[in-house]
Amino acid sequence: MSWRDGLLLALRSVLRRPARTALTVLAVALGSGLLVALAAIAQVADTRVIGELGKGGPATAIKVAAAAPDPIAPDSDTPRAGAPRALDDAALRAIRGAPSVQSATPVLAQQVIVVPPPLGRSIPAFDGTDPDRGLVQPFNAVAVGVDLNAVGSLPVTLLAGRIPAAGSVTEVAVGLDYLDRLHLDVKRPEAVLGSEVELGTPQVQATGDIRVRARWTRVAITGVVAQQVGEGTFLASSQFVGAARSWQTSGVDGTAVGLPLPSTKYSGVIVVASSLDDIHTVRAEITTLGYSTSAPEHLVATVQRYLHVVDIVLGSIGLIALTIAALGIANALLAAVRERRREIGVLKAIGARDRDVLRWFLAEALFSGVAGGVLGTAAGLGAVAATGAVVNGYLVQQGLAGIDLGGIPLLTALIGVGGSALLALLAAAWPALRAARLPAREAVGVL
Amino acid sequence: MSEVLRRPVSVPHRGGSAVAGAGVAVRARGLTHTYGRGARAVPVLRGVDLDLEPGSHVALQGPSGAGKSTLLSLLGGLEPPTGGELRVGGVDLPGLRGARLAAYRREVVGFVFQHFGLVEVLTARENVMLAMSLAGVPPGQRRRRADEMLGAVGLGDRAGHRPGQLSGGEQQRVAIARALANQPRLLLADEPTGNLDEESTDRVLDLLHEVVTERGCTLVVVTHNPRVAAWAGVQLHLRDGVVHG
Repeated sequence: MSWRDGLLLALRSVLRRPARTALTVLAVALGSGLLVALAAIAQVADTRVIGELGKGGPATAIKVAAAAPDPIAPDSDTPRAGAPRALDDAALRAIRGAPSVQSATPVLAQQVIVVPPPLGRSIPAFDGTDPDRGLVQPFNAVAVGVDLNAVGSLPVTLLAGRIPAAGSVTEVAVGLDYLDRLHLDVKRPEAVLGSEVELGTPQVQATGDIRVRARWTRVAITGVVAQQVGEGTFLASSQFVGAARSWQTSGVDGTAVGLPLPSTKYSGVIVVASSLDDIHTVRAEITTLGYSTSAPEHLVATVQRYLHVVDIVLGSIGLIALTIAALGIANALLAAVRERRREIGVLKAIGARDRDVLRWFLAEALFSGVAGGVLGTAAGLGAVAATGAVVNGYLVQQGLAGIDLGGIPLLTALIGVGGSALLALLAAAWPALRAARLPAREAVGVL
Repeated sequence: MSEVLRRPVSVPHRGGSAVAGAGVAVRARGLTHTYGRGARAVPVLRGVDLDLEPGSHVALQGPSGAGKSTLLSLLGGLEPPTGGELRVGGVDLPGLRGARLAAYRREVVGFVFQHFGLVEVLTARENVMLAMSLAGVPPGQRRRRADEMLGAVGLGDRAGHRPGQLSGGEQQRVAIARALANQPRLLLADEPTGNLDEESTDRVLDLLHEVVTERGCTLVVVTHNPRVAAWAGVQLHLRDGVVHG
């Protein structure tokens, strides 16, 4: 029997039991679909995360402190800083001019007094009497200011809402610690969006007879972020924080009352290296310039290890699904062999060789495998596309580059369909061999 | 066992207008067959001696369990005998295994079953073509020859129908067309009219008679039908695993 005749016979045979065939194809489709989806998602995750890390993006940003490096721990992720050291425009230019530096964004930090909502209430008197007892009390915090146009290259993750408009002096984003302060649920960060808060910048006017006054600004909270730019509750534009620092520095030094003037123009600098491999070199260069740095080098290695583990887990889940699909094929074919014992015997009685029968059943499994593979791959890629669209939307919302899924479908589709066909053949091997070895006397059913 | 029972049964050629040399001679000596082993062994054939001349038409009769179908399956190469000698057309069947046995079934034997044995999912034409496909007939010739065969059995207009769309008699005629598709020299029929009504039985018998006579092939038919036995001309009785002439 030629392959063509075997395929014709197999095609007719798989259509003989449409419900069983449909279930078998569905099992293969589920298995291959799951594997394709998991493989594609793992591939995207690897590409995206490792790619970003590999490019030395925000996740691997180097934080430069306005301090000299501590000589005993210059290479750790979080080295202890040494003596204070001015971080000014000249230092910024020197850092930007260092090899393998992709970007260097200055960071400003300013201590502020925070009056949380509801606004317009009484300020507690110094004697401790508080007519609005029970409300959250004003507290001290730090506002971190950066160029919000460059937020995409900074270690900032938007959790809810949006990043304040670049250059705005009336909008801020808050960290999760702000929600803690207000006794709000950190799992519902959107609760603070749109609320207003008053930020006061203290200015020490005299230290002898202590006189401190504040410049108050009412700002709207536009977003909630997790950020590694600096130690601060508020993320604002560099214009907002710069204006606050100017106000404070126009006063006198208040070190005695805990309000020292800033000793350096910039509180820190966020440096992004050209690639993951350059991080260590860039840190060494900045250390040579005399500044303390920190970078999540060990974190990157850890993330890579975890991603590898995720790959293994996802692959295992997919293989389990495929194994179940294979068992489904084998079971369906075994049932078919049981049902067709006499038919197989007749085929042998009229001259079929073992290999003809083998070909018949393998071709039948091949149909199920290919059909299931095509369906499953299409469904899996559909799921990946949907997931990709969701992830893409999130990344774009974060101000990051979207995911390019263009290169995935063709290769994955080929592997999905080809793998399913191969799996079907492997699963069918034993039932097909059983069928092929049935004796021809099954045709007459003697004993 | 008596000497009479052990004497070979010899059947002369009785085909009317047989094509000389188209059939095969069959010779069995001390043919035995046992199913199972040890305590579970069931001896079915206990020493069959048989001589059939080429082109002879033989009706094999006997009670159920006498070994008729087993003898037929041995003659057809469906399984090798467990003992004795069996030669068909000069071929030593016990010595054949695997692909050579399949080739014997393909090239020498035509089978007609009581249950018709048609592949349900194929049309009448495709069932006939399947036998030719197994025999390696070129694809271009199969359809033409299948249509000729179906025309010869009076089913030229039903070639595109599946077995489920045909009556029992029509299915058996398709099975006969398939059995004759590769021009066998030994036609074996196991109760070919067992599942048919009287009218269909007559038609199938007439057809069998016509084709085996015309083609001159050796015919062995297992039957309980006296009319079939009478038509065959030679009746052999199988009882307790031994042939009685």
